[in-house]
This record gives sequence, C-alpha cells and structure tokens, in this order.
Amino acid sequence: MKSPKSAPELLDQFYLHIRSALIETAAAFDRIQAAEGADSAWQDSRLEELREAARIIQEEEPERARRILELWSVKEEASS
Amino acid sequence: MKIIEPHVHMIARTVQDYERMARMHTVAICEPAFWAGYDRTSPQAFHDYFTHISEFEPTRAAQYLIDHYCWICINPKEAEDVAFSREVISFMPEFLSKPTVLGVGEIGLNKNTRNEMIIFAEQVELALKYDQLIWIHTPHLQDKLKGTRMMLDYLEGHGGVDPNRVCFDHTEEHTLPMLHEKGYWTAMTVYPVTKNSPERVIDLVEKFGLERMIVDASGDWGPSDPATLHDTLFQMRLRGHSDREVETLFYNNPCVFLGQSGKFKPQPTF
Ligand SMILES: [Zn+2]
Repeated sequence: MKSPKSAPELLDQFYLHIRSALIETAAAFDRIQAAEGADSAWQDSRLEELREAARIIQEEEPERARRILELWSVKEEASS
Repeated sequence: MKIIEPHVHMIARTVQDYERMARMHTVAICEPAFWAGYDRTSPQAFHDYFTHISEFEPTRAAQYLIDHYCWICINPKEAEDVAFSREVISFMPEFLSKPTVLGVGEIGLNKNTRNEMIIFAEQVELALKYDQLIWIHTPHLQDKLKGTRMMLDYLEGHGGVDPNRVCFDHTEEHTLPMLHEKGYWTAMTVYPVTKNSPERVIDLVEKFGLERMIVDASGDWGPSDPATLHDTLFQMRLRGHSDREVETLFYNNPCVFLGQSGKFKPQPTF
C-alpha cells in the first residue's frame, strides 16, 4: 500500500514538523548544558544514545525509525 | 463513518471521555484488564476489578450508545508473584463466559522476567482450553524488543496457537515486522509522547498494508488521550488515503478480529 502522496508533497506537508522537532531537540540539549550539574548529566548514557540517534537520522540508509528504536532497546543475550 | 476503540481503560477515565468518544462516532470500545497504577493487595481485588469492567462499565458506556467489551487476565506488572497470580487465574473462567468478555488479555511481559513468562504461558493455556482470543501487551521502551521476541518465540514453539486469534499491542517499527510476517494481528498505540505518533502509524500502514492492522489510543490513568485515535484517522485522510481504506483500519479490521469471539456485535461494512 504505497503513499498516495509524492515525496515533494510529503516534504511540503512535514517540513515544519521536522523543523520544529529538531529545534526543540537542540534547545533541550542547550537547557541541560546550561544548568547546574551539567557535567554529570552530560555523561548520562541516555544522552549518548540520543546523539547516536541524531547520527542515524543523517545517514542515507532507510528505516531510520526502526534502527533508532533498536539502538534504544536493551541488548539481547547471545544465547537462550 | 463508525470507529472502534480496541483498547481503553475506562475505569481510569471520566464520563467526559465517553461523551467525546460518542461525539467522534466511536460505537464500541474494549477494556483489557491491566495494572491499576498500584499493586492490588489481594486476589479478591481482581475479582472486584473484573466485575467492574464486565458489569458496571458497560452500563456507563451504554448511556453514550457505546458498546463496552472487556478482556480478563492477571496483567504482567502484577504477575511476578506466581502463587498470587494462580489464585487470580483460578477464577478467570467464571468471567470468560460473560456476554461482554472477549478473551484473555492484556497478558504479556513487563520486565521480561522468568515469573512473568510462567504466568504468560499459563494464561495462553487457559485461553486455548476455553477457546478464547488473546490480547498481548508488549513491554515499554527499552524492554519492548526483547519481550516481544520472547513471547513470539514461545507462541511459535508452542505449535497449538492460531496467530489469527492473537493480537500483539503497542507495536512499533522494530517489533511489528516480525509479528506481521508470522500472521499475528498487530495493534499500534498512539500516545502523546511514548509509543507511536499518528504520522508513524500511517507510515507503518503504508509499508505493511492494512491486513491484520489495528490502531488504538490505550487511554489509561497516565498521559494518554482517546482522541489520538481520531487524530490518526485524520492523519490517514491527510495523507491521501480513501475513505474505504480508512474505514478498513478503524472499523472493519477490529470488527473482524474481535468478531472471532462470537460476542462482538458490530459488523464489518463489506
Ligand atoms: Zn492497556
């Protein structure tokens, strides 16, 4: 079941949403960095996972959402 | 167009939600048995809860011309105590025979522990013994992928479970594909922050098609909103899909899955 909309139409439809999500993300990083205790928060592994997600967004490879959710999942044991 | 809300915990919602859903053309809703936000102190508390969702909520819903159905189970968040859970399971059959109870759910995993898995398996057996549909809760956030795989592996290894009679709920991009491929029903929950957004649900539908796909808002006692189901319907229309396709996802599909119970009254339009 393909999208009835073309890619340029989808870009028009979602451009402002994407822009908003990115500026909110940037501002939230700034907020955390500017506050007291920023050094320890900056070491939190959750922030590193968020940075890694931002890297995935920039890749050419598709299925970014799936790959980001996998990155945010507990690692499964090799056996059992 | 009529809408079905396949997952909402009305015990935690006000009458204004019934009113809003009625105004948004919701004609039937389903309430799976789940955690109350605190651990219940006795198995008897579950008996009272099951009575509430199978007898009282339908009368509240009826005032808004909404059919209320429910699912019965010991939920994964309270399944860690095996002996306690078995006491609850012992009186589930008396509820499964009630006219508005659709099956066993929402069973599943929370922290993916051994005990949770034992109680999950025992409730799958109960569902099979009483020929009931199964509604599965998949864990939250970072535990979702592992827990979904554990339950899928269990059901695939079991051999006696018909995937067409099982729905996995709260699926996302990383868990839906493996379930869809094996023939299970998959539900996508739209939450304001965690789980899916309306946009991502329609992305998944465009990628995997309409077959065996369900959408719900899972309104409960936390940050959630029954209207996110309707936001998703609107998103599907904005994305250019036909009314027929929209009706399939938000009305006919739940009718088909839930209709297998023999108790669900709304009929598909095709
Ligand atoms: Zn629920």
